[in-house]
Amino acid sequence: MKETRDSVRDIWGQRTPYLGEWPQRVDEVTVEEPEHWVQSCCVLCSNGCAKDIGVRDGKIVGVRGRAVDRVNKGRLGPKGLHGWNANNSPDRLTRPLIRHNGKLEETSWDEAMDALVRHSKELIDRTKGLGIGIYSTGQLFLEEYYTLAVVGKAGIGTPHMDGNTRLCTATAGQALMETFGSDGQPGSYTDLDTTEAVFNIGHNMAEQQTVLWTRILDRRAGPNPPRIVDIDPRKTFSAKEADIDLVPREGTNLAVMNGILNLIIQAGHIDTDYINKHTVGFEQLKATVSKWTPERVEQVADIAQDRLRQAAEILGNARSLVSTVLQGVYQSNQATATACQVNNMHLIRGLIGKPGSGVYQMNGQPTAQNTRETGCDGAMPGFRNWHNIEHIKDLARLWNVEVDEIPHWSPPTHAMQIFRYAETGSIKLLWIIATNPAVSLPDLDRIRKLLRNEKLFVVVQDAFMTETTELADLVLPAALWGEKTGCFTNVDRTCHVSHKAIDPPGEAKSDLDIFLDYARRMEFKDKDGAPLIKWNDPEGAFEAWKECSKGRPCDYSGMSYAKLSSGSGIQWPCNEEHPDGAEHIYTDGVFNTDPGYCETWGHDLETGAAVAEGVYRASDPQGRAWLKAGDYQPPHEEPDEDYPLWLTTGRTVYHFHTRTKTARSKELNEAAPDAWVEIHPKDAEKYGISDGDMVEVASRRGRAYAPAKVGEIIKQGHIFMPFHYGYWDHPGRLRAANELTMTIWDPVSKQPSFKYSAVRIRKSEPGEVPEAMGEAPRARHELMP
Amino acid sequence: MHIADHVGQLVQSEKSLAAALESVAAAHKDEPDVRELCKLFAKWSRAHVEALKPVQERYGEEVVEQLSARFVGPRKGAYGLLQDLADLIALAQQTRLKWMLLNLAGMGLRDKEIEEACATLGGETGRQLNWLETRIEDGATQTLVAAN
Repeated sequence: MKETRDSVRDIWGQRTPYLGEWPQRVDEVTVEEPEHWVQSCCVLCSNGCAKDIGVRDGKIVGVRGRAVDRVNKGRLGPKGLHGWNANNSPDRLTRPLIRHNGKLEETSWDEAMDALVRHSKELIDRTKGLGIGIYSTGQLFLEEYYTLAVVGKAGIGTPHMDGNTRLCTATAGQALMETFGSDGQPGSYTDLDTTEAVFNIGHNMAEQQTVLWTRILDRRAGPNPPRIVDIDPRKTFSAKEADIDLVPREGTNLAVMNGILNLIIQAGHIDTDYINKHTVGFEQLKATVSKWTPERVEQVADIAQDRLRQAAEILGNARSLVSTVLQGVYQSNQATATACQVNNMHLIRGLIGKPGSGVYQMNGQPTAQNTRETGCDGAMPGFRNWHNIEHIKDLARLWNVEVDEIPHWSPPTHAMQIFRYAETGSIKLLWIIATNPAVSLPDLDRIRKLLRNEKLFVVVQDAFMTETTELADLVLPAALWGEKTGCFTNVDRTCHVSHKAIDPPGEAKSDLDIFLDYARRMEFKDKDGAPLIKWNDPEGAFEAWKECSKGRPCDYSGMSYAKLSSGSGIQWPCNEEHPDGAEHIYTDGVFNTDPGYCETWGHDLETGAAVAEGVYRASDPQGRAWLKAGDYQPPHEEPDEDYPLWLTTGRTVYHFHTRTKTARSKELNEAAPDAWVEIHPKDAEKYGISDGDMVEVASRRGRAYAPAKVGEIIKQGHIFMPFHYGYWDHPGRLRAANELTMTIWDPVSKQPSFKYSAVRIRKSEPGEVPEAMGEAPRARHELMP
Repeated sequence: MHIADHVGQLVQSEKSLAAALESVAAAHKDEPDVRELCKLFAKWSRAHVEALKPVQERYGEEVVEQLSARFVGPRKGAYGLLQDLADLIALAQQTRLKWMLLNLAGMGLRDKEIEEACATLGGETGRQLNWLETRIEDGATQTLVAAN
């Protein structure tokens, strides 16, 4: 193996200090000398690191970062350098599987699709499509999402379309909509090159977007380093690098943000002119936060008053600021209200739409941005407003269908509600695509029961057998990244193309081909009797998407495969006005809040109640942004006598999600082979737990067992478990963090709250640890031929 | 003057609403959003009853037995939830109307305390109603067309 650096041992690699420009540094790992290189981009986090795939003898033999790209300038992280090994795994699914007499057996594509089509047609007949749910992902390509969106909304006619992006990024999109009128990140990664301060809240960037973190480390190593403020209940790598790190009690993010904004407003670190010209609601915001004195914040959130003041000093005085937000906010109590406070902080300081300043409401997944754009995840395509009939008519014209075909009587059904309908029986066909809910949803015991129900026809489309395929009635083998062509977009709106480098194994097909095949067999037609889907390859889908996005905020109309293949990724909006993409949006302080243009009329941030169209129109924002604020409410479950500790969950740098891919890379798997429980030394002492002991963690939902890691990394009164560890490679121990978590979600974004559960902990007895799932998942080669 | 009567009716309406909300939260506890929001709103309504005590002390306390909007649940299943939400909406609408009328009286009386209470607490009733309407609309089509 040739590698330019050991990214497992040294996650961020050598420093290349920022000196006027972020230098290039090409990272590369190959196991053999490639015959040729194919342009691509990484799909193992949302950073969007461009890389070339090395190919030899029809196999992927390595990767190399693209020096020319604006996002990474050649750098790759440990997952980017090693995750590709999963493509070559002998465990790959190569044939469809269908359940006969309780067992999954190999079958032909014709038989598999017949079953899917039969069930679909029957349900469309009986329930006009309302009996069908589609639960997809943040890992497909843009062309696949757009095709699926049209299939779902205009073909099947179901409102039940969402993805696992609900679990990771729904709050990002929602907060942007509530404040700015539509989704769309107001910021670019290049802002990090000049910014005076960085604010990370609930975002362990050092482990989550390692290459973006590298950009910050290189600034810190150069002249005029930015100051860093970090908020996290754990002493992560990100927190350790910060100048001020606040370590709040679980569930109190909004109290902390309200406290920070209160101090900033009191100190007068606001741009009154900008507030008056470009925002609505300042007096209400001021009144809401005025109650949150440092004393009160200390009492509720357990943050020392002087620490809060120091944080507010940095954030209030910086002349430019980049703020990043992720799961510590999105998967926790009052997610949307907290995320909006970050937006508000930038607005009242006038730090939006200018170089060096930006808000990154982040995604965790590599192509999650695209589900938000194409309407696969609970938005409407092109950031359109489901509640604005003109927008629906727009789509009806574009797709040449009757307006009423497109569901618009309610917002698209959110993921937890889709699963609830599946549980109670009004959804009878659940099509799960490129995701593993049997490990990643909360309260796994409930999810397993629900998926096992014989009355529910479960279709799972994936590249490997997983804990979820074990419960499927039909399994469709899918191609992975590198085996298909398509585009995807990262957090700072940069779109990259990934070209097909090798063929998928066996009879596995790209998700796009599966959707196109489905649409043909279902005979989906437009108003004139022509096929509803008018394209039959990725580039065709991309061109169709361009038309859909034209004139909307996420405008791709100026992009093309040719342009994307000629160097760096390109940001949207990319159109006549910005032929090479735009670094910043809202540069003139005019936001997307106009009633005819906006993506939503907005919601009550504390209850989630929708604002009525009439009320919104009467408010007449005239292009100004909304300073929406909520007051603190305690979390839905808090520690008590029976369950005295907080459980929070999160990730490790070496794994992606449920490790379907990353555990099939030797380097990554060896770096982090098993789950663990982080516990503070004082709590460990109290419960008689030593480092390395197998412990039982129990909640009202279930139990999980993992070895203890005693240390001050986690706040006292809290424990941490990574959420990646399921059972496909280790059925012998009940260990998934989501055995413990709650079925509850943010009232506005509907994102589940993984970050707080009340638990108890004890050292387990030898021999007591139960097996998982009752039945071990089987590797592909053990299945019936 | 019928202030005492009217406030009595408002208090009774809030009490009925609170009890109904608590009942719905318990009966539909497997719908987490219904459970949590109804529990929260019940707390609001109970707090409204407390907050009206000074007004009752000033203008007299009349106890009212029965108002027209009533909660006839709790009922079971998706369709049961739809009907329970409809009952809650009727109770919340009734409550909000009584706040609006009390506000008009307060303006005539030049009673700043009444006006302030109607703005804040009546405003909360409006927010309860907004959520209930949002929630019933979100689930109605699925229940009426596809549920068993």
